[in-house]
Amino acid sequence: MLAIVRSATLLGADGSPVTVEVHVSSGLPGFTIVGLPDEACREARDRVRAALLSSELPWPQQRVTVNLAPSGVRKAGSGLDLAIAVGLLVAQEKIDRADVEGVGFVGELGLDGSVRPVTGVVPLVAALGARACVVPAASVHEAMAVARGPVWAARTLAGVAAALRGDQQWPVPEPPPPSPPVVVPDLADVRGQPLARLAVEVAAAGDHHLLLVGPPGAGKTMLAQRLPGVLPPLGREAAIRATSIHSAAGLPLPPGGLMTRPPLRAPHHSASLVAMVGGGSALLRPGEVSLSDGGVLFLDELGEFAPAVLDGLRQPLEEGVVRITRARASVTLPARFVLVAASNVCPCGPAGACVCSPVELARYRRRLSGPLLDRIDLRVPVSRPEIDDLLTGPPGEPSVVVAERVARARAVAIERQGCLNAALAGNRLDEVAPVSSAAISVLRRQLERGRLSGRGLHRVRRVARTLADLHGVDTVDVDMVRAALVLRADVFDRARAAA
Amino acid sequence: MSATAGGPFDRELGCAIALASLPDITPHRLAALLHERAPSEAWAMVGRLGVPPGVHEGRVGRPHGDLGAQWRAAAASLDPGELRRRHRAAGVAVLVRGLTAWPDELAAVDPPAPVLFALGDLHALDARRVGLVGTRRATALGRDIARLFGTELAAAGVAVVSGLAWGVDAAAHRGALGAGGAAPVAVVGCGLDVPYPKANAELWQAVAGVGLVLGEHPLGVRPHPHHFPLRNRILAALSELIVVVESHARGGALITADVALALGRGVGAVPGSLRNPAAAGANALLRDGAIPIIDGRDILVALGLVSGRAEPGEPVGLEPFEQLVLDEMGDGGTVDQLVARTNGRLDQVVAALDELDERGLVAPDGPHWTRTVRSKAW
Repeated sequence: MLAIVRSATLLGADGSPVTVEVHVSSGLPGFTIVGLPDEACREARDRVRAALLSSELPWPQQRVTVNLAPSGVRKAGSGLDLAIAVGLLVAQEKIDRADVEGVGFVGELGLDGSVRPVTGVVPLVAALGARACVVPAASVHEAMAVARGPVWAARTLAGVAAALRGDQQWPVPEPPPPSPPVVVPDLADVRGQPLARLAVEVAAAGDHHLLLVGPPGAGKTMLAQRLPGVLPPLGREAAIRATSIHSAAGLPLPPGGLMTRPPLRAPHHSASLVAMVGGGSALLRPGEVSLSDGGVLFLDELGEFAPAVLDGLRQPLEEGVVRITRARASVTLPARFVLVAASNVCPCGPAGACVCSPVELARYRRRLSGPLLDRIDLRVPVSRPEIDDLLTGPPGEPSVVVAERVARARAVAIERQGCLNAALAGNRLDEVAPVSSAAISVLRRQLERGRLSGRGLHRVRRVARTLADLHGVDTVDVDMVRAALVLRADVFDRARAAA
Repeated sequence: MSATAGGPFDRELGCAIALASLPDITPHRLAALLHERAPSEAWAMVGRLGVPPGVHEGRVGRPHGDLGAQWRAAAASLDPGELRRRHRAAGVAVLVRGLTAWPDELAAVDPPAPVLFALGDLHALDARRVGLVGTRRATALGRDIARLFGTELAAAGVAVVSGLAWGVDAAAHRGALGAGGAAPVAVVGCGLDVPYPKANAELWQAVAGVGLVLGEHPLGVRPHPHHFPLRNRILAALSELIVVVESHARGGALITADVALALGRGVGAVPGSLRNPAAAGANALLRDGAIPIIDGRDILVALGLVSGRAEPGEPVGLEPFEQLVLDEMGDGGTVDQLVARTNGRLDQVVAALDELDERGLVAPDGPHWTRTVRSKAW
């Protein structure tokens, strides 16, 4: 007897549909799985057999062959267990073939017959494309966020079999627990530091990357954490993408299943290249650049990251995707994020007097320069807040007010040119970012004094465009150009490092 | 007969280079070797005797064994003719006391400097000379001042003498080169084919191109920390006046000033803020009686080239807020700090800074804005 059941396996952040074919025939009792299963997948043999027996369901004393098609795709993980078990029941005619027609199954089996959650339910369900799908009870809500048909919760294998036969109702999924009030750090907490606040607002409004440089305790981390709070909530497509990536990486999802807030990822500077861009031999797990897709990637102590890791950021920064290629497979993962990097002024990072030699300083700063720094539009010095601001200063403008301006500016940019300002090509600047004549003379002076290069000019004009969008004006005026120039200051005090 | 063919004079110069190339040679030993001897005689004695009588072995610790044996071995392996050819090919002139042109100002230095190497134009020494020295870790303002003085001196026909190091030295030379007046003179602590610091290699070439780079070391000798204090004695001797632009409480510039005083040269210092650690050394010199230098004209007055005070600068019509930003700038500040100090808005401060920058009254240095020297009159 042959049974065919739908399931899916995970590759990168995407699911890929798998057809599970179960063939039971006379012959010596045995159980083989073919079709490029990985180790966890091959172990399904033992889990499925034990789960069937524990659930008092019949195990065929016959020859069993399971084929996972298409056989060219590597099948990873334990998510195919449930589909194999259901296939066995269909092949033994314990479940009617019509009842599983068009139904997709995802879930791992315990030896006691329980159905356990697996990573990546969101992309798996999206890949199933089934009229209905059966997923572990704990993953029902995230599956519903992307499923096209009904989603049925599976608690035990016996329960799944009974419900498919129509002997039992599918268990009603528990309503999602009320989301705890999301505590998004608010910009109102930042006192003083008007330049850094402006930088955060501009970064959010134009997706400009941002480098914050200052001594320890100046509030660099505090500022970075407040950037997601002024970004608009994720649109449905971006939300599904972010949810899929987090699900594929096995990270917890919000109670409602769908991620609606832009993510903030802050990997430690010891992160490896694979952790940063994604990879690994079997699963091609998404890395931090993909996990921060649609949100913010915060790299504290930028200079302490391994040079290879920083180099790995170049493709995502340029293309918004990261392509990972291994011998067996290659995937393209989304990786469009706002980079917020923070750095100390010097390697000793002192509270008081710096003890670094000019040579040490030059070396430290060289590590931060080059192609990566080139892609960062906003470079802002952060100094410790003034004492008066801390003690008696008024609280800063709250995030909600800033977020409103940001959302308007983003909408204006998309309306005008179809992309955010950071992505503007240099040759479109004249068309979409006209500059007033007073502003041009300011730019000319900077160019004449050698403080601005041709490439720097483009960056200043992009940032000035964003500032104009925040002000709601069409033409870039002198104030915006001046502010844009200050926002890309040479953040390192050359007094100490250069001759 | 061609001078390149290794005539007797070339032989003497080659031997002088060879003597300066001996292992563990010091200015004292070199002077003792050349005391009332021609270089070729001294070289022959080294070949025969190792360390000739009258040359002290014991001034420096000798962990590496017998100096005499090392010198004999070196005498066997070094070829004076070849050394001479290499230096000539690199355009490096050898100055030997009593044999060639040699700056007489160095007659009194201790330890003596009987052999010098020069790259560039010796006529640079014909001008009156002032040493501009200071810390390698200079502030933006310090470098700005050094550059300005360099420019003013060169324009007045005074050669700027400095050390081509980071910070004040480099800024002084840059200023002097920019003026297109008197050619600068540099005194360095390593071989003339080993620009140090490397980042200043271009500046080094530029100084050698129009002026003069001097040192005590043959080609290929790498810089060593103990070379620099020795280098300073030559720098001080070549200068009529040493001006310390910025110096920490301890530093090479103060050594140079000490040597200058010992040689009877003048010492001036640029006063700085009490809170600027890079001004502590210069301020201490002022307390000890150094000439206060508060503009380039003061240096020219000290040289007797001009007399009387400079006219105060023209007042300029600044907007009240621009004046406030300028007044609050102090030793410098970031945009955020200026916003806090002036109680202004970010855009006001940014606009004021840009206006002041256009007038050349302030300048950005990395994240900090500082007053330029031009603005100090107001």
